[in-house]
Amino acid sequence: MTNLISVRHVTKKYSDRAVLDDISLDVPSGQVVGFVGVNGAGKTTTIRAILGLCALNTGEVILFGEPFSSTSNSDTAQRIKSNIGVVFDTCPFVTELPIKTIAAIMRNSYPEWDDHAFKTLLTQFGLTLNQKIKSLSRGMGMKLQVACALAHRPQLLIMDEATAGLDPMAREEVLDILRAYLAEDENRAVLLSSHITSDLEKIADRIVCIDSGRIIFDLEKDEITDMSGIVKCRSNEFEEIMSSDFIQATLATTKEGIRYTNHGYGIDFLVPDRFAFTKHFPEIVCERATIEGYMQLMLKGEIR
Amino acid sequence: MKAALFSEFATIKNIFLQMMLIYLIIGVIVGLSAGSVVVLAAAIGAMTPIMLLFTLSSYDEMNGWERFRASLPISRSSIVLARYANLLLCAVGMALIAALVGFLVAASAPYLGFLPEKTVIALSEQCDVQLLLLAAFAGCASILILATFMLPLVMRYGATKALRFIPVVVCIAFLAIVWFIPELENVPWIYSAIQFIANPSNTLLIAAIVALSIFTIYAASCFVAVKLYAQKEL
Repeated sequence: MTNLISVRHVTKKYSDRAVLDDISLDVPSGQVVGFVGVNGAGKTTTIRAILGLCALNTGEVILFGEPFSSTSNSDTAQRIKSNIGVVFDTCPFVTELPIKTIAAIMRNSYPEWDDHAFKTLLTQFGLTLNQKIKSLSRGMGMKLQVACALAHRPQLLIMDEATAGLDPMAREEVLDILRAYLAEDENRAVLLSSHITSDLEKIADRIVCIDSGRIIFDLEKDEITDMSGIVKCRSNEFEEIMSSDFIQATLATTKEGIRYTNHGYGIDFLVPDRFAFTKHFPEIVCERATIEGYMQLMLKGEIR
Repeated sequence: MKAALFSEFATIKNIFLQMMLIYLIIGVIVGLSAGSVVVLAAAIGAMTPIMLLFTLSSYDEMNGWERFRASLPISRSSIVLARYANLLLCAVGMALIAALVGFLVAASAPYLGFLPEKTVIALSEQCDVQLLLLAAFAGCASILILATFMLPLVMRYGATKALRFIPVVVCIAFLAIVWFIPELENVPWIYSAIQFIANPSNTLLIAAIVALSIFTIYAASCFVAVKLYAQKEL
C-alpha cells in the first residue's frame, strides 16, 4: 500500500495563531480515511494545504509520492491535480451557468474527463445538462460536485463535507457510488471530511480526528467501533473500576490515561478493549463505541 | 492555458450577449442625447472592460468558484493570463462593435425622423470609420489603463477588498501626476510633442503608439498580477 497523501509535520499560521500545528496524516491507496473534528478544528485548512491552496509555514505535503505545495511548478501541479477529484462543502459553480457549461469547463480541464460517465452520474442523481446552477438545491449542488469529481476517474478523491445537505437516501447513494469507485481500482483512495460520523462508520477504513489544529487520534476504524467500548456506570462504580488491577494494567499500556465524562447522573468512560473489560466487569454496561461517542470523549473528556 | 481560457470565456459566454445589448442601448441613448456617434462609440468602448472586470471578479468570489478553479489542473499563472486575455479580447471586440454601431447610427441618422435636424447633420458629419474606430478604442484604452492598476489588486485581494485600495492607488497616481506636470514645463521637447499630437495627419501614428504603450503597460500589469496571485491564500 502506497500513500497517495502524506502530510508531514505541517504547520499553518495566521498571524501568530496556528490553525494547523505540526499535523501529520497519511491516506494510503485502497482506503477511505474519514477526517473528523468540530467546526473550526482545521479540517478544511488541512484540505486546502493538501491541495496547495495555501502556503505552509513548515512541513510538507506529498501527493502520489511527489512533494506538492502552492509553489509547485505548473507541470507538477497540473499532473498531480489531474489525478484528484475534489468536492468542497458548498457547490462552487457560478450560479448563472447551466450544468452543460460546467461540464465543458471540466472537459477542457481534465485530460481524462469522461462525458459518458458524467451523464450517467447526472441521470443517476436526477440532474440534467440544461439545469442552471441557481436552480439546484444544496443537495443537488453537492451531487453535481460529486459527479464532476468522479467523471475524470481520479485516483484520489478529496471530499470536504461531501454528504452535508444530502437527505439520507441521497447520502446512501453517494456512499454506494464511492464504494463502486473504490472497487473499480484498488489503487484509489478517498479522504472524506465529514460531521456525519454514521457515514464514516459505513465506509471509512481509518479515522483521523483533528482539534484546534492538532491531530487527536489517527486509528483504524475497527479499533474504534469494534474494539473500543464506552462504559456507563455510577460514580462509586467508576472509582472501584479505576482502582482495579485491570484498569491499572490498561493505564500502564496507554499513554494518555482513561477518558471520561461526568454527567452528574453517571460517568461514561472509554476503554480500548471492550471485550476484555466485559470479561472483568460483566455486571457493568460497556457499549460498542461509535465514532461520535469516541470523538466526544477524546475531545471533551477529562483524563484519569 | 487552453483550459483557463476556456473557463474564462465559458463563464461569461452566457452573459456576454446580455451585457452587449445593455451597453448598446446605453451607448445609443448617450450618443443620441449628446448628438454624437463619437460619444456613442467611446461610451460603449469604455463600458465593456470595466463592467467585465467587475463581473468576472464577482464570479470569482461567488460560492468559492475561485478556490474550486484553483483545485482544477490549471496553473495560477494561466488563470491570471486568461483573465487578462479575456478582458483584452472582449474589450477589443466590443470596441469594434461600438465603432460599427456608431457608423450604422450615423449612416441611418437622416432616416430617423424623430431626431432634430442639427443632430442629424452632426451625426452625418461623424460618419467616418476611422474617427469612430479611434473613438471606440480611445474609450476602451482609457479603461484598460485603469484596469492595469486595478487588476493586480483585484486578483490578489478580490474585488470587494481591492475596491478599498483602488481609491488610494488612484489618489497616489493623481498626486504623482500633479507633482510631475509642473516639471514638464521645463522639458524642451514637450511643446513639439503637443504640436505633433495636434496635427490630424499624425492621428494614426499616435493611435499606434498609444496602443503599443497600453499593451506594454497591460503586459507589465499582468506580470505583477501573476506574482501577486501566486501568493493568494485560496
